[in-house]
Order: sequence, then structure tokens, then C-alpha cells
Amino acid sequence: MRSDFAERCKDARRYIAIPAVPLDAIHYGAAAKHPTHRRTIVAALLAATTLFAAAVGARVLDGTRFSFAPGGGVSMQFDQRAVTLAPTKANLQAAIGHVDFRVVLPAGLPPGSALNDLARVGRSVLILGYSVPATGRRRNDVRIWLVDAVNVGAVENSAHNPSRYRVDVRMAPRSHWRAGAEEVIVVARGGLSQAQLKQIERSMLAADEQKTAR
Amino acid sequence: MASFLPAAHVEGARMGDPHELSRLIEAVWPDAYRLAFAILGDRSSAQDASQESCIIVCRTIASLRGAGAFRVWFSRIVVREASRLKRRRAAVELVVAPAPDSTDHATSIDIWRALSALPRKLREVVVLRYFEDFSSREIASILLVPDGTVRFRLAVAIRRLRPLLGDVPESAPHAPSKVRTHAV
Repeated sequence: MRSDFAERCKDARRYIAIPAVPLDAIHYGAAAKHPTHRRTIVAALLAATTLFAAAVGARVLDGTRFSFAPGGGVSMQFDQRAVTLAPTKANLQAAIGHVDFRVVLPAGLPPGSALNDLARVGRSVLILGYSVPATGRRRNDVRIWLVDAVNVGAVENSAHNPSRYRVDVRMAPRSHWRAGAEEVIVVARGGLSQAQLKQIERSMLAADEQKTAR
Repeated sequence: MASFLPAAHVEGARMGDPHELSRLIEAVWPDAYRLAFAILGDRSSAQDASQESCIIVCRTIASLRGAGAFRVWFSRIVVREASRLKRRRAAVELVVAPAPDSTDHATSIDIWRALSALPRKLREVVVLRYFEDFSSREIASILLVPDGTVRFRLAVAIRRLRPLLGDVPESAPHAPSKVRTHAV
């Protein structure tokens, strides 16, 4: 059945602006990509590679571009990442050892919060995933990005344009601040209250001052 | 999806010709992006989904049974990748809210707003039917659900869209005369 609605859909489709086809990235991905059903194995291998790399001090990751977008968003493009599920203190220390900025770890999270996962992107971004107790829901997923303030807006490895992954995040109000040499961005799907965000900010700034005083 | 199907490129790519594969990807990229954008409603996610879909095409086109099956097969890949991306991003991070990339056309903006009010499963069938001109049987093949389920979802989607857009057809093509109220 034809209708004006169908025509309007066609019009809407016609006016979608098409970006250039990333042919190189597609061929690169096709050559390197693993089948979907092996992703769990790949994730495990990735974690193992991270540990191995930490052990031998190898530089696994490079090519990261991070920028703040107008209107309260952040955008990050990168080629590779290292994800560790259920990280131990040693994993966390290893990740901190592989970034180029002085890390101020998140503090002041609500009681009962637990670190679920850890991702390192290049040498300038750490993303810590926490499970936070919440009312109404059993847990909230909260991710805290720690970004090297020096590298914001810059390409870490200028010889390579990162294109494999891209993440765009909209920031909630007052969920972004600077603690020492790092930009802190809190991404909370279920939402943290403003008081909880303020508490995290205060605690991290206090921790930074303590580090500086030492 | 484009009315012109690059059958020669499909056959060449199936036979392993890298030049034909590149031409095929270039030919289908706009359709992949449009379909992904219509389902996801945001540019960067649509680009990621289309790129992943093209990567899958490059890897698996040799297993395609014939050029005639390409359109449905390819659409299935794009829809699956778009859905996977949407679920993953919803679970992990807040993605920028759907923004009409397309246009300053008021009518198009209405369409995007109305679509964004639909849940994913309903949005998929509307997009495949009214944006891509697939029949309900083809949509069933793309989504791997029974034909009746597609018609039911279309009927529900249209019922929900009607208050938002005044010109929605009275009933979906081959829609059931009575819409039952079980879960979509």
C-alpha cells in the first residue's frame, strides 16, 4: 500500500548524508577481524596479551585521538584497546605504569562500589568500570574515564590516523573535571546524583593534593 | 536498498576478485549506511555498523549461494550489526541521542522523531518496509522471524505512529485484521 507516509520515508532516506566509504579500514578489518562467534575467545586473548605485554614492558597500543565536542560531548577514536575483566590490583598498577600521565584514581564512590573492568587505550586513556549500588535497581554501571589532559585534541601517533573504533559519549552536567594532569569524565548509565558526583570530585581533588604534597 | 544490484560485482567478489570486492563495497556502502542510520539514528554508530557489515561481507561473501540472494543477505548483516551495536552501547555507555543527520526538511525531522519513539524491533520493520521497500516475506527472512511476526510488528508500529504522523496507512500490507495484544 502506497501512501504519503511511504513517500515521506523515502524522502527522509534520500536526504541522509552519506560519509565517504572507509575502504582501507574495511580491507584492514577484513584481513584482521575474527569471526563474531569467537569474540569471547578474542577478549580472553586480548586480556592475556595485555598481561604479557605488561610483563615484558612492550608498548601494545598507540594511535588514539580524544577530543571534547561542542555541546557537552566527548569523542575518541582509536585502533586498539586492552580490556581486563575483574582486574586485580596488579592489573591496575600495570595499566597505570603504561600510561604517560600521573594517574589519580577514582575515589569517593558510593560504599559497596566494585571495580568490574579496566580498559587502557593507548598511553593516554584509562577507563575504569564500576558497579555501584543504586536504589530502584540492584546495581548501576558507572564508567570513569581518566584522560591525559596534555593529549586532549591531539593524535598520539601522528603517523597513523586511528579509525578502527570510535566512541561518542554525551556528558551529564558536572560529570567532568580536572584532577591534576588528568581529565576526569564520569559516564553513568543509571545516573549518579549530583551529590555523589560532587563527592567523587572532592575526593579525587583531595587525593591529587596529597600526591602533590608528597 | 538501491534498485541497482551490482550482480557482476557480487559474482566477481564471490570468486575472490579483490578489485570486484572493492567495487562491490563502494556500491553498497551508501545503502548500508542509510539502513544503519535509519535503525540507529546516529551518525557515528551508523558508520561503525556499516563498516562492520562491510567487513563481514568481505570475509564471508564466498559463502553466499548466489548474486540473487545478496540483497536480503546483506541487509540481514547490516540489521544484525546495527542491533548488536545498539544493545552494546546501551549497556555500556550513553551514546549521543539520535539526531537527524539528514536534513533541514521539517517532514524528515518528523519522521525521525516518530521513528525514535518506536522500540528497536518495531523500528526495524518500519525501516525495512517503508525505507527499503522490502516485502514482509523478505523482512521475515532478514530478521529470521516468521512472516506473521513481521506483519504483526508492522501493524503495531503503524498503530503507534498514527498519532504522531497523520498520513500513516490504515493498515500494514497484509496486516492481520485483528491485532492481538501479546508482547512484541
